[in-house]
Amino acid sequence: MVGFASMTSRRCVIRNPSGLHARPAGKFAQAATAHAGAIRVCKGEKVANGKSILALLTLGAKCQDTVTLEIEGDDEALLMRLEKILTHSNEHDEGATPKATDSA
Amino acid sequence: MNPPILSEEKIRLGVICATKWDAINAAGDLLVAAGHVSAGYPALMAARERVGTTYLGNGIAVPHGTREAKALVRTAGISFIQLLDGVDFGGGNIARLVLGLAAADDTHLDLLTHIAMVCTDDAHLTALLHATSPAEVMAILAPGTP
Repeated sequence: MVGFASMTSRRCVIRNPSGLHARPAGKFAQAATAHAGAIRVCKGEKVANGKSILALLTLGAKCQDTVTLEIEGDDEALLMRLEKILTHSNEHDEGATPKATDSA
Repeated sequence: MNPPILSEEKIRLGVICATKWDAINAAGDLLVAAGHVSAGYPALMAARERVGTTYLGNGIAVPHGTREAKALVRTAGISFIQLLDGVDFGGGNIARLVLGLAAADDTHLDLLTHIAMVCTDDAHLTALLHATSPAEVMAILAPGTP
């Protein structure tokens, strides 16, 4: 964490009925990648690099599971955006594809 | 008796596919042939891919059906295709391993989590990329399947 003035963390509850599956994990990683500092999502003792879809999927975060979102550096707007992806309950209107029909 | 989630007849190695659509169809056909899904499933895997890529990183893609396709799933299954040269899954993301998924319920997330756990281990990933027999793939990917 050297070089970053602050680390912000927030607890959130996964609301997607299918859990943190490939699609929201992809959106999360894409949004996280542009950020210079580290971004992590933790569930219990598992810690995942928020910039990697594969790493996020290892969490196996299901609907109603609580995760902790951590961001190095100060970017409240990004934090809110990432939190929204995790807590969004309807995958159909989160993102660029209005007709999303992901299976889970 | 239900077919096992992963089995040697659903594993193909050194496959050449011209496009990601060929690879998705091949992964879907293996699921059909093994009895996990009915014949319409591969087309709905392609439909899901058009909504957004199922490329996950590390050369791995996990095509699976749309929400509507769940009605076509009989039992959970994984098919495994190791591509000789890889195919572009969009944006220059080259998939070397294409794992077709079928699951009707929460098992879908369990399958994804299992695959992610195996493939974030560099030794396992390298072994899958270079496997020369289905038995090698089974030894790495089958333990711990949901």
